[in-house]
Amino acid sequence: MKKLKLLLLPILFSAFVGCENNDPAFPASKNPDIVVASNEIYGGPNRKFEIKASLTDDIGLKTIEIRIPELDLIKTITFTKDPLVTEFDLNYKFLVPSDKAITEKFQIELILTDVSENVVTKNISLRLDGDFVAPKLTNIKPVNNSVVFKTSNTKVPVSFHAEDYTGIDNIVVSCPELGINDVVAVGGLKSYDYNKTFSIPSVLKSYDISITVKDNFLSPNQETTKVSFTVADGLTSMFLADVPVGSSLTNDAFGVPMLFHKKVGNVFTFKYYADSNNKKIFFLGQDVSFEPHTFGLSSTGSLQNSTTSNPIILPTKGYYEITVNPIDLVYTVTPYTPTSTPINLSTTPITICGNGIVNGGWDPNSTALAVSADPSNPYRLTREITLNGTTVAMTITGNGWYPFWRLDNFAVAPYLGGGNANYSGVAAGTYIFTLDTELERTTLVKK
Amino acid sequence: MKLKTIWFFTMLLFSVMSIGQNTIKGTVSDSKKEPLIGVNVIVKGTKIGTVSDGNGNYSINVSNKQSEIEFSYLGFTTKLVKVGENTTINVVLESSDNKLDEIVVVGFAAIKKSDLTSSIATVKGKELKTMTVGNASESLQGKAAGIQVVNSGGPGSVPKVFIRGISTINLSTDPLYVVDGIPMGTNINFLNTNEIESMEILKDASASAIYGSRASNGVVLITTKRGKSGAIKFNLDTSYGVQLMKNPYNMANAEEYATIFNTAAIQSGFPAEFGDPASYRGKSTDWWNAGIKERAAVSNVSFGLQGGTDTHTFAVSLNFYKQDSFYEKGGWEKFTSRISSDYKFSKKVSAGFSLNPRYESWGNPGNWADFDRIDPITPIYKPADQLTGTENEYSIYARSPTYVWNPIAAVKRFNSENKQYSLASNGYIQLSPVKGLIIRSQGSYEINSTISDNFNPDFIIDVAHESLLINNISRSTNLTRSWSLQNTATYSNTFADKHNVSLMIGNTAEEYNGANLSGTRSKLPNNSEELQELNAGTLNPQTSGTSYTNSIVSYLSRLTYNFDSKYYLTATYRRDGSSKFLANNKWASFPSASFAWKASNESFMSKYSDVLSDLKFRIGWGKVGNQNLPASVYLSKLGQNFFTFGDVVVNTTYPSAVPNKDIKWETVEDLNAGIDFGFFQNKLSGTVEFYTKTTENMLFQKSYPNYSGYPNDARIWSNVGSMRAQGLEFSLSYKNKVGDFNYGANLNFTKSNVKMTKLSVDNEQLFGNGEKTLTVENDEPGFFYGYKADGLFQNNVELNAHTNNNGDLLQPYAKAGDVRFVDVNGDGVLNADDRTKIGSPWAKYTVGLNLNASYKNFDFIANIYSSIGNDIVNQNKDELYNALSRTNKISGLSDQAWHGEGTSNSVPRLSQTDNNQNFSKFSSYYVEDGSFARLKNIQLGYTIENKLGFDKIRCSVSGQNLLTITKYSGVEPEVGGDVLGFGFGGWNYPVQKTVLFGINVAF
Repeated sequence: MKKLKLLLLPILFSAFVGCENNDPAFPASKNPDIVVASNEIYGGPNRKFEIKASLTDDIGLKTIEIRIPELDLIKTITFTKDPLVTEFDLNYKFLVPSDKAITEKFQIELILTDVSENVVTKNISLRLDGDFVAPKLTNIKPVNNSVVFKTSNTKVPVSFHAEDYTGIDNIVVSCPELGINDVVAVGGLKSYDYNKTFSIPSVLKSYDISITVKDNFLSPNQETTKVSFTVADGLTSMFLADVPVGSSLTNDAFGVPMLFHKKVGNVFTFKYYADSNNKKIFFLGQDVSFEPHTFGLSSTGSLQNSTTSNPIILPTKGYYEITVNPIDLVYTVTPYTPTSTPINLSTTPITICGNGIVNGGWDPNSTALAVSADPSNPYRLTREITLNGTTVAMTITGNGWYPFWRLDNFAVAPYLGGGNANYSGVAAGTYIFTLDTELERTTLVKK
Repeated sequence: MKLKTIWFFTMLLFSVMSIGQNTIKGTVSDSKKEPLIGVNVIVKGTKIGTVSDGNGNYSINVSNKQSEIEFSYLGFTTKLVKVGENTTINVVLESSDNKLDEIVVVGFAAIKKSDLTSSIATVKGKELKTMTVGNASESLQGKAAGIQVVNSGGPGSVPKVFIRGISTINLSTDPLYVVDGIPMGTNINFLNTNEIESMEILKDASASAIYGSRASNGVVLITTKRGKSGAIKFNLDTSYGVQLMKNPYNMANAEEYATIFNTAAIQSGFPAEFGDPASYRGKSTDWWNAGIKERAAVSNVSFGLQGGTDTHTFAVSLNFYKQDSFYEKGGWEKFTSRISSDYKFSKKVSAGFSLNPRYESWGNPGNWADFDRIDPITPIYKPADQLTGTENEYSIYARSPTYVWNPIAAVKRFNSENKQYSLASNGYIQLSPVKGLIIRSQGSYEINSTISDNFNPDFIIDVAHESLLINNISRSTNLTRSWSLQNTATYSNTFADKHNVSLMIGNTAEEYNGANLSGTRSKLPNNSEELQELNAGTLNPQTSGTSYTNSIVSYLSRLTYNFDSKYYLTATYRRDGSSKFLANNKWASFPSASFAWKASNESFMSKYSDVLSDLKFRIGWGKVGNQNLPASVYLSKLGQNFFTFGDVVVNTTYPSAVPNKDIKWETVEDLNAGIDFGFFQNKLSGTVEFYTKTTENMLFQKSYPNYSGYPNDARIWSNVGSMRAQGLEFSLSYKNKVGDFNYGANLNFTKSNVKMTKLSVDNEQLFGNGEKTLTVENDEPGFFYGYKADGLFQNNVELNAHTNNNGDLLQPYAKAGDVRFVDVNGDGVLNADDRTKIGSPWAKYTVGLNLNASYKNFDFIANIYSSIGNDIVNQNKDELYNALSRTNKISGLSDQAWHGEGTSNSVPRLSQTDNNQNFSKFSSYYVEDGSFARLKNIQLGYTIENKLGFDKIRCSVSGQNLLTITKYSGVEPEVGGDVLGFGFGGWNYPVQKTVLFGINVAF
């Protein structure tokens, strides 16, 4: 029996040895070290904060555990052992849940273990009452992508309104090409109106003006925006708006105002469908604002460039060819009857394919987004669609991809052409889509 | 005295003679008591011999009582009987099924199985006909090692047959079927199992190289039944049964459907879609029971007769197979007949012919899955208040908001039928001008005509979503014609008693022609049956048609030699010329050689013969080809499209196919080694084989680089890449008899590995099936490629921990209950680079187990087939578990889906959005273990012999596919597909359970 025990002993020993972790054993070493960038971190509800720390060990780091149990954060980063990592800069971001209050405070616990199984911990205080909102800029002039007409003494007025929760520290307006570098120390005011006019060379050129507003917080937040403008003899493009002056031109996804069809010299030609009698229209020199160039009728009935202009009235419902010369300030309006063939939806069903649309996709045979014709105008194909808030791109097509209209930039949809342009930043919601096959123009406006 | 002396010696001589010359008489018959004609009867160890006459009788003189008489006959076990005191010896010879003296067809010849040097599996017709199936290949499943059959279920569908795995990834993987010596393509739907005498599967290249350029996927030689001399024998074989089409899923009823979608909507931040789900209680539409018949009849009737004299034999068989549809409409039926006649004009001249007229009709709706997919709330018909009374009969059905078209209405509209008329003929003449020399010419001609009609009535169920405003009609015809001619001369002789030599030389020529024509028109005056003709269409007349011809000419030879039935050598050489290639590569050679050593015939092994009955070692090498690419790859092709230049739309042409005048055969080199063994008089026998197949010059369709100026879809066939398949096969059979109880079993096992060894460029990634499969060097082709799913997030802690080292969420849109995907490459970003191998569609092993037993008049068989180690993509998970689509879901999904910590780690939370891409990301979430074991067939029979004026009456009851054991949760574990898209399961037509009753009468 004794012999048997002696025999079993080494077997049991070898069995236990065999069950051990096969990882290489590391010698005893010094404790690892955590050096945090700050013992106090500011965060905010629904906002990311960043834990910064320098981690070191003389042999190698094994794991770093980041714990904020109250915020459901228990994260372990495991370091490679081939090769061993002796230094690591921890830059760990975490989003504070939106249901937390700005008055709450938490402890961030860092637990660092090295390969020799030495463990050190470090606590950092987390506060949620930080200011992370950049100053807000509104009513910026000049309007982005606008045209400034060249004169013998060309000037560009720059103005905007700035606001911030904790106060504005300074404002910088700059355009190195024009030698502009205007620094305004605001001194903590919660709002500020900037309004200055700069003389610029009378040459045909485009410029970018940079506007930066910085706030007063410990880690300052700043807002920078760029506006582009062009010094020109005339307009490079024109748009037709059939909404009153002052209406928002950015509520639609695309199509309002409508891009011109043809430009020869300074003469822009539009084709337009008036969907009712006495339709009121203006011509714009830019697509997102009625300023600086709105062309309408003066009190004497001549064309003028002014936001106080009266609209041009198209007397009857139907198609028009309209020409505008914004330099000579003349225009013509000619009704016409389309000669193109409207699509017969009963034999050629048309559907919308694309991204960003609920029930969208790229199956031309899907009937999920089939369009229907305007009962009073067979050229106008329309349907209600729902956008999901992601980038919109679309092709309007028949079964088997024929015929098709790919949606291009500025809501242009050429027959058997176009380029599936992406429209980003379009809010989710219900919209009315319209394709006018005669005009090769689309609109997507909120319902 | 002198006379007495003469008389004495005369009598002594007579008495000595009478002592030395005993005459033995008797009859030789088979186990059914049928006399056997022409049985070799030899006194062992002497040259004294005779043959049995037309009644099976023989008479032979033997020298003494110790003499042994040997009775041998082709296809029967040789029997040795000691004379003893007997003067009459009646012998019953047992059929030699799977015995070593069985004759095996090897392509342009037939030899004894014991003389084989290659890998050839034989399955007898009587084994095949134990199952009632539409395609005989289905019955082949599990019957032999190295043969994988993937059934596809649907009426008229063709099972996928792999012989020793795959050797190509872009061309067809189907073997070549050769029926009575004539190559017949890759589909044997036209054969009834009752017509088949035997199937020989040529598995290695040393066996199949004689079929050269079409043998890379293996060759299946099918021998049909022919006449036998003797009185006319009639045989009637019938079976009738029902196939069971059970709903593969238990789908949600209306109340559950509403509950599921309300939950999904609320969890997505949307308002509930339905009011109180309980209000739908008892208001479900049971689509399945309304449109699917869960039982459909299947029947088979075969009537045959055969007989003849010593100089003329004939056989006639008439076969009818019918499979009813599970729908209100459709079905599959085929009538095949075969008439064969063989004449022996003299000892030197013989001839024969066979005719095979057949007719086949099929056409079935294919929308059975829609009966599960459509929602249970929508009624079958529109409510009365939505009917105006002006609708036609196809427009009274309700529309489902799921966008699944009303399946009942779809079946109602179904009007499609295919009819095929065929006639195959085959004749030969055989001369034997001198002893040992056989000259044979064989010719065949086949014509095949298919007419397909289709009519789509106009209807409006919903004008925007489910309608056809103008009816249309189409008809297409396809006519194929083919002929072949084969001439062979074979000389066989034995020199010095021990050198057995046979040399065959020959040539073949084949031509295949096809022409098709189709026409469509729309707007027929109405939907009435009388007007369903093309000429009644008034709009959009369109026609199309084309024709093709391809041909192949070959020269072939085979040398077989054996020394004293111990050492065997077989060498073949074939040279093929194909119309598919230009002059540079039109001709190719396909040689093979194989060697065998029959160790059990060595004298030093005789002392073990009581135990070891048979032992043979084989090794073979061969080269075969694959020419199954389109016929015109060396031609340029132009495509057509419309392009817009400015405002002008222009009809344009562009190069769509680029010629490759140097295109050549894909070749496969095959090395095979095997051991055949038998113990205890071959009661226990088997084979072990190892093979390796290397494919070179693989045919790929490659696109041109952009800088070439060719558009993206201009492709060129190229010979690039190689692959290697290796495998191990094992087959073991045992049979025994205890009193009246006979029993036997066959177990076969196949293991196969295939690997791409080279692609067209280094590190090439060849995607398939929408980037869901990947093929790379040094791995198997077409493995599943996607993200690795790691269960579901159970809580916020797990969500917050799934970040990179900077705290960036790897799945920023994930919520608890969503799928967690693994950052496989550890780069801290979850993107397409994290896709990896997530499964293999290829079985690691296939196993077949075939059992048989009989006791007195009862007989029993069971066939079990198993595929082990393969994965299947269960594509139905998307529809059945994802509430983003509106189709119906499985019953109980509300409980199965994650609805709180710990409730599920496999079914994601219900949602009407899929921002985390639980379902739209192809991941291991879809991959399931596809292994299965299936009881293919179980049959019990009872035979009455020589009663009621019949030679035999056998009744049987059988069940096919009655039991399947698998972990796969989809419809059907037998899933096929192309090589780069293999193993994707979804709404595959299930292989049905079938219960049959059969009667076989012989008289």
